[in-house]
Amino acid sequence: MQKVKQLFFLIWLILPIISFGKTAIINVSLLKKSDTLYANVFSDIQLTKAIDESIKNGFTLEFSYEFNIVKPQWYKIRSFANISKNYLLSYQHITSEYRLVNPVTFEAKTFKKMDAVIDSLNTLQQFPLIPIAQLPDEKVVLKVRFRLNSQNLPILLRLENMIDSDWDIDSDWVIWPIS
Amino acid sequence: MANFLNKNKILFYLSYLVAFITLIALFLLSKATEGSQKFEQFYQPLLIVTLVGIAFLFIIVVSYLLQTINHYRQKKPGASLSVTILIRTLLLSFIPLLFISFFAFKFLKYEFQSSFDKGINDALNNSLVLSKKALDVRALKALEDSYAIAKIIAPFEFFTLQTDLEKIRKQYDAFELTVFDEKGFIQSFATKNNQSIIPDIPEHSDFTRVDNENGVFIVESNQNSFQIRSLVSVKKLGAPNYYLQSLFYIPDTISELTTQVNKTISERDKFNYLMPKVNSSFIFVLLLVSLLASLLLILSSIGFASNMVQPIRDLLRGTKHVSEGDFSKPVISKRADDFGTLINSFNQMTQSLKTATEEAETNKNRVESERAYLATVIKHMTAAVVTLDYEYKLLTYNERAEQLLDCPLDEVVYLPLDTIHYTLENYKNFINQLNIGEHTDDISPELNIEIDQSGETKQFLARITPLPSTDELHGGYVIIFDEMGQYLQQQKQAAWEEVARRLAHEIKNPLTPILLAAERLNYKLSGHLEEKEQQVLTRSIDVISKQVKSLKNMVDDFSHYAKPINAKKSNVSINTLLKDIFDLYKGHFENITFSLVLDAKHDEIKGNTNLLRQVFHNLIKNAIEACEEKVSGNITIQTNNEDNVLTICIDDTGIGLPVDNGDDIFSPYITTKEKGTGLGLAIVKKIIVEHHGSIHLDNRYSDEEKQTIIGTRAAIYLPLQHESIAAEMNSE
Repeated sequence: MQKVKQLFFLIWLILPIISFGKTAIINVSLLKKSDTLYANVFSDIQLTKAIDESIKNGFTLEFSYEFNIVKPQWYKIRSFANISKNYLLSYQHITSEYRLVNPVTFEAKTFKKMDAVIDSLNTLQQFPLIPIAQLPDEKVVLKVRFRLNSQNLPILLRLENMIDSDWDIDSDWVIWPIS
Repeated sequence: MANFLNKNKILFYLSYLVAFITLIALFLLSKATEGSQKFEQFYQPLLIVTLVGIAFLFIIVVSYLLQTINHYRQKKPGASLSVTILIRTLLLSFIPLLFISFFAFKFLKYEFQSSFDKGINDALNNSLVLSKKALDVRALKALEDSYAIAKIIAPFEFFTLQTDLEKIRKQYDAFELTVFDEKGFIQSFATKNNQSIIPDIPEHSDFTRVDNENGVFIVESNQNSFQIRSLVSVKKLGAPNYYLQSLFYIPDTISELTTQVNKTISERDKFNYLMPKVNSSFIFVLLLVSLLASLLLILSSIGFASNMVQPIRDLLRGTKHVSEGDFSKPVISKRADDFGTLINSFNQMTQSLKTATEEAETNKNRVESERAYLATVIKHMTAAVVTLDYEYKLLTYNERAEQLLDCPLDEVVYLPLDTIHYTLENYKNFINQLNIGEHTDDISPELNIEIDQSGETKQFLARITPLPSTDELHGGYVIIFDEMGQYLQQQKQAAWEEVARRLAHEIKNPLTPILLAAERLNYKLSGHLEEKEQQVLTRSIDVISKQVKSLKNMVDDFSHYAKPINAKKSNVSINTLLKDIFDLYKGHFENITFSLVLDAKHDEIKGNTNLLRQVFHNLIKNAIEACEEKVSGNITIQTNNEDNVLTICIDDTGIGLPVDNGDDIFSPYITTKEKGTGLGLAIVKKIIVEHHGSIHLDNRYSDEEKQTIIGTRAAIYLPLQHESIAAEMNSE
């Protein structure tokens, strides 16, 4: 028993070290406006050198904020809505700038530096989640995370994504109550 | 064992199946690595299948190798050969595999390194630089135009600015012109896009840069087109700084070309970025292939070694069985190769060996049986027999020989004559006196040998018979000898028998006329003589009659003694016979106690019941008479078995025998009784000899010094039934 306790204590000590330098959702605020539920998300996104290198080498990476409206139950999680906000990030050699494109609206933003890209990604303002009328009467929560969508990567980068920690930029799920 | 072999075989086949599946997975994996869309989605499962397959094979191979090493260390049959085959096969196979792997790695590296030529790379880089320069030139022109426009509009009036800007925009072919005040608020703008109500606003930092650098330009991309944004200050006299932003679109042809260059550069960069990864991936797949090939190679080598060694193991097991004398387990093999032929030959050899061994065993048993038969015959021969080898070493002897030579011959067996101890001097003297060397070719005549035994000279009559042999080193001699005294005794016995026969013939004939004459005389004279004379006559006739009858009885006894015994023999149970006789005597004598101890488990002999009954009656009668002379006594009758001889002892506690009588007591006319004819024991001995037995009559003493006689023992030795048959045959 003593050893199990020691092990848990060790894990508790190590956890912050492991999570250091990892993308995290810092804050989520919900806003009801015009019968729609909006989300403001502020996060601390860590795009690593490996990510930057791959973008600069011509790859377009897809990032997304994923929102899940769920009802947590002890035996299963019941999902009501899955929404995501996607970004396509690429680099242009001619202009030496990063292009952040909304794949739905094709709205594009260009940035000279990666930090500017990260600043832009860190903040998501008034993202419409769901019409309020569609929200269930039950008590539900909002789960949010930021992730790199690896499905569209070439197989070799997908492998790297699996085994290389430099490619692990996904944040943990953050649960936010919907009142 | 068979179960274990089957399990091993199943595991082997399973390993090959896993290897085959892994090989297919590896093939598909390589396809996926090459970029096949079909297999790309299965990359992860394929990789997992491959790794699991290789791990499984690795475990199997390691366990087999450990097992082989263990067998080698434990020096199990075939393990050494198995290791040798394994090492050689691996050496033979690994060298080409290493060569192939080495060159495959080398070619793979070369192919990737040479995929993109340096010249093409440089050309692409140059085209990028060129594109940039082209854009820069256009941007510089746009900046110059912006400066020019700024000069034109510098003395502007707000109410005409909008109109002027539109004219100038058209004049300079700008997409959009916008004037900002010193705080960055829009003062006026003119755009080619009529639907636009808000101009494109620069970054705040761009205004700062204009303050510092007087003017900036930025080349921006928009979908597949490029635009140049230039920002310059407008210096209006007496007023704060204004800013002019000009947006110029790059012509489509230049944009397209630049986009194309950009795309190509991106593709090249992608390729260059992925190249080491693809390279590593191919090397990884190649490594997996090499590993799989190596494991398969080792597995196949183990299988090959096992396949080669298995028949040898089977043969070794078979030879072990054969060496242990077990011919019942043939080596089973279904192989049709040379090993199969070898195993079949081995099985045939084992079968032949089995037949030969069985024959040898049968012959051995026969020889043993014959030897035992001969040994029994020799042992129970009344004459002494010894056999010698060609060096005069004693091989066999019988009890009689030991008895006559009065020395333990078991100490002499296989000993050279020179090394025989002085305590066995009788034997040595006897052999030396025989001069065997003079009789090597044929049966010797009867030889007279004299030996001093305990101060007494004993005479022996011996005959030497050389044994047949194929060479000089084999063969030997049989020496049959007997004591002359006994021989003489037998001659004496024969003489007595002859005398008795003649006496019976010569005396018995006149006895009847004598008796008849006497009776006639008594008849004729009776009543004619006076009483006194009559009494004399009657007494004389009575004496004549009694003496004639006595003489007749004596002659009958002689006749009986002399007559050869030709009685029919059948199986006789001595214990039963003695019990019958014992019942006749038990309780009929007040002062004599009878005991019967029948310890003989085997009591059946070949003999004549009446004659044997006569023997036992005679001996018991003698014992009773001996006891009666001492007023009272005990008579014990007992039987026993020793070897194949039945011993019957009749012990009494009577007066005993005169000490000096010895064997003479069995001679006719030798008696210790006043009324005895002296023929009783002679007849007893004759009957016993007729039954191939022997009889000894000795005093029993109370102490070892033989001071006090406590009675007599009559010991009869008779061969048991099968022994008696052998003796019968011998006598014939």
